[in-house]
Amino acid sequence: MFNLVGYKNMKTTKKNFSIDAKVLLSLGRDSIKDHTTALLELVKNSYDADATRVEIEIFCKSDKKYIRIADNGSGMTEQDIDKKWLRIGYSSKREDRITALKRRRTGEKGIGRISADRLGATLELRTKSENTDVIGLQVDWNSFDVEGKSLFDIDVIFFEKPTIEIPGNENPDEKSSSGTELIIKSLRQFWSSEDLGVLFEELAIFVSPFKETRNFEIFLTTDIDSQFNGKITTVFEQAADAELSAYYQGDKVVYSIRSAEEILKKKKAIEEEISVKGLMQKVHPAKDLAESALPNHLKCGPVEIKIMFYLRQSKDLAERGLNLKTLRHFLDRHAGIKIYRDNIYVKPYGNPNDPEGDWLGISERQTRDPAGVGRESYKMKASQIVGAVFVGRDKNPQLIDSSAREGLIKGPAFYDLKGLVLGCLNLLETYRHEQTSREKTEKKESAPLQKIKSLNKELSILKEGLEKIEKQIPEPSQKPIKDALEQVSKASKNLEKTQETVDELVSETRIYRGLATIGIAAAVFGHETQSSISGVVGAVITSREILESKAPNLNKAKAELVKAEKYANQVAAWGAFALARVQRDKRRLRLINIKDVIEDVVGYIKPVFEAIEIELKTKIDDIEGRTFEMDIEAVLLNFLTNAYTACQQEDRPRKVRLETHSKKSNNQEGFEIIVADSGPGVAKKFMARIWEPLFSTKMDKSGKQIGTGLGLSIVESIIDELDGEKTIESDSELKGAKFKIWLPLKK
Amino acid sequence: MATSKKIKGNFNLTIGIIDDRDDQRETLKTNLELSIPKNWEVIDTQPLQSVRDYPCWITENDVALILLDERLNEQGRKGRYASYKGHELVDFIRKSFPTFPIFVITAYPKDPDLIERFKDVEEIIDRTEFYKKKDGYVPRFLRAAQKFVEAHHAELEKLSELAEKIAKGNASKNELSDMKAIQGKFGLIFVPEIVEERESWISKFNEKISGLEKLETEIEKYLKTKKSK
Repeated sequence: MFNLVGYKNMKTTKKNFSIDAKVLLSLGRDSIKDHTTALLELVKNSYDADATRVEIEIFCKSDKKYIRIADNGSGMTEQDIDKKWLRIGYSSKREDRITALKRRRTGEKGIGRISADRLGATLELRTKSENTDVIGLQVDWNSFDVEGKSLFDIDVIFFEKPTIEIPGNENPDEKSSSGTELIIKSLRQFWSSEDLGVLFEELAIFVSPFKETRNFEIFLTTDIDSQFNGKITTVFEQAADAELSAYYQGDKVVYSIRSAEEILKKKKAIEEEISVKGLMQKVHPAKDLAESALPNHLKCGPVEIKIMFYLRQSKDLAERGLNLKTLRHFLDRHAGIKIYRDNIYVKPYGNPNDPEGDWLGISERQTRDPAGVGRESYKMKASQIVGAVFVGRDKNPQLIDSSAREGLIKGPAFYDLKGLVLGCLNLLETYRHEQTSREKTEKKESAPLQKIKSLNKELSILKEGLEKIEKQIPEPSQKPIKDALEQVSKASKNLEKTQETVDELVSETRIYRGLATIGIAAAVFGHETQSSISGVVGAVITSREILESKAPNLNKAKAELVKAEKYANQVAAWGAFALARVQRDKRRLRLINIKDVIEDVVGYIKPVFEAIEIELKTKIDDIEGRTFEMDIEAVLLNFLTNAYTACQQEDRPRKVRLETHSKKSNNQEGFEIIVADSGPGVAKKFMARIWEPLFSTKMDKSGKQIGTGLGLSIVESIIDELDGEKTIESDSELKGAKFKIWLPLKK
Repeated sequence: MATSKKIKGNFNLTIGIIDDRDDQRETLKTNLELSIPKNWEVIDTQPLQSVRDYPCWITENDVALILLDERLNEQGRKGRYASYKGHELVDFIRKSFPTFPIFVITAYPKDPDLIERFKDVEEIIDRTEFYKKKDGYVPRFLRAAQKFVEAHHAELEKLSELAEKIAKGNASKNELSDMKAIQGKFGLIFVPEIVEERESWISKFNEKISGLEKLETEIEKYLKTKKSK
């Protein structure tokens, strides 16, 4: 024990080991890597003392050089000082690992206070616990540093009537009656701007990633680099790999999701809406739960939710200015979805160290179905999620404190809140799953034809370069250049041959595309054909029976025959149409009149559209040029097939508009095809995905996918191959989707 | 048809056709009319606005059987289209009339949604097949309709009678509760709402009228006293 001035001296009759004070210091110094680590140890003490506010001052430049660390934690009593603080090696953290605020104590070795020595030669400590007076003491570490001086001879000076400055006490709301203030003087080391940078990042680990919360705030003041002045904010927000912000009110949830890139670039995300029913269906996908049993409104009242997902992989972390180790420390401390009421944490929700912390059962659901991100039922791990649920006493009076224990009463409002948060988590999971599957398809190889084209370009550049060099160097040294040129032209010839083969293959692909398109169209329009056939049969038989009856009504018989003729023409037209699509010369590049091609297709399609009352308006310019007729038809037919299905999904007059006109793009001659419809349009979130193979938004009322998901991917492959362009937007006139493509045209 | 005459009473034996395509519906109607007995009637309709409108349509027209198309939203009225398909109507009618005969006639009998309702309908018939094998199908329609009417004609007759009284506003309390009981049996959950609405409307109307009458007499009184002065 220290020798305490003003305190009773230790009296003992037994012989003791004696210990050099210097040994103690070197023990401490050895276990503390550098001065930022030392300071961090002291901040950890504040955290462990359940402080909510810590002030750090580091002054190095002015005459007064000092470090001050003050917190509004639980402080220490005289007994604490005597039995704990002055007992080197004692660690309350070993005896009781969880603090009153349910924080997991951070330090263990009980050497945190020796850290002060690492920072400066003298330490002034002032502390006040809730029901005691302020205690102040001073330790001069240099007096330890004398060879042969026993630990018992070290003096600790107690201040008479010390005063303490507890952080945050200027604000009446946060006034705390306890705290600890450390002032370290005679600093051992100068603090550079870089040191502060390291400190800043390490301190950020302690801070909640949610700006709104007041869990553990750290304020830094320094004269070294003004950019570090102020409240320590988290840097881990931008390290998230996906982030969801949601707001629930009334019968819907408005939410937005940002990708890692969008978070980093601070881009705003597109807001989307989902009905409460729709969201709850995701949480309770069980078929036996009827849709009508799901609520339209939630009893918990308006709620704001933020959930961040961390991949816990070092990939891409460096560009966000972080490393995996600090991220892991951050996640160990913050993982979980916490509830904040009026920005104050509600225990124990989201605390990984409390048995009731995982209130959403995130770990359990992941263990039950540990599906990876590639699967549709993908679940995130509890250790990858940091989230906050914001509620308020006034806003959410239905969420009531439990009187029996900490937390909220597990009533209907609480269960609705649970469902809401799980629903939001599900939205984020679906997003991640879709994003990953999209990345997979985006990674596909570029078309072989494109590769050959770029190779050819590179070769001709190489050839030009070589020829220039050849001219510049004297005759005798030209041989290697000539050889190289010969090699290049050989490679070029080989490439030409390859291109021919690829061309053949492409022509084959063209036929497949054309056939697939007819197949899709046949499936969609097939019902119409069947209707027509039954129409012919019905009308013919009925007409005959009228004529065979006792008093035949000739007008009725005639009317039936007129119908029969109309239906028969429809059937015949469809047969002719399918046959005409695959004619041989349509597969070749040749001069065609685009207008004729389009009008031909429209001529066949129009009656099918009219049969279900779709008005097909066209505005087709006279365009001529060299292109592949089969591709144009495939694009057009796929667009029209989609429009046909889309129109039927809305209860309003059915309209489709088809336009084509000449248009230059990047100085290249070409033409545009636009197809717009009066259907429901394409949701923004699907706009990027609709071109993917097997992705389809065609659903029936029960949500079953009814499209093949091939049509638009065929269109995309045509556009890629012909170097065209594509866009999708919503049509202001018809209120549905508007597909626009541009294709080049050689004169 | 002796039996049908015997049970007929106030009822017409009626077959109802529901199809959105005017052409197809008319052909089917014309065709059926050529093959059914004289005391039978065929009525037809475009899809009604909501599935909830059918129980009324069925009772008001004494429909004893329906022939239903599956795709009811291909043609509409003035740019408005049915929000339901044939199989959804089947689901709804089954809830109200568990034993009511329903035949589906469609150009696309392999529709998966229809096949799922195989147990809920009497038959799913290919439209082309129907015309070819009409002589086989029509007697089955007639038998199914007759069976339904025979089983329920007493109640249906009473229902029709009561409905008329209630509509005219001169039904007694007992009659109203009889009506409810029969409706309960048929699961006609939507008719009572309409009846109650109408009742409350009439009673409000009556209140207003008697208010006006009071006002009238008071004005007359006032004028008389003024004159006498």
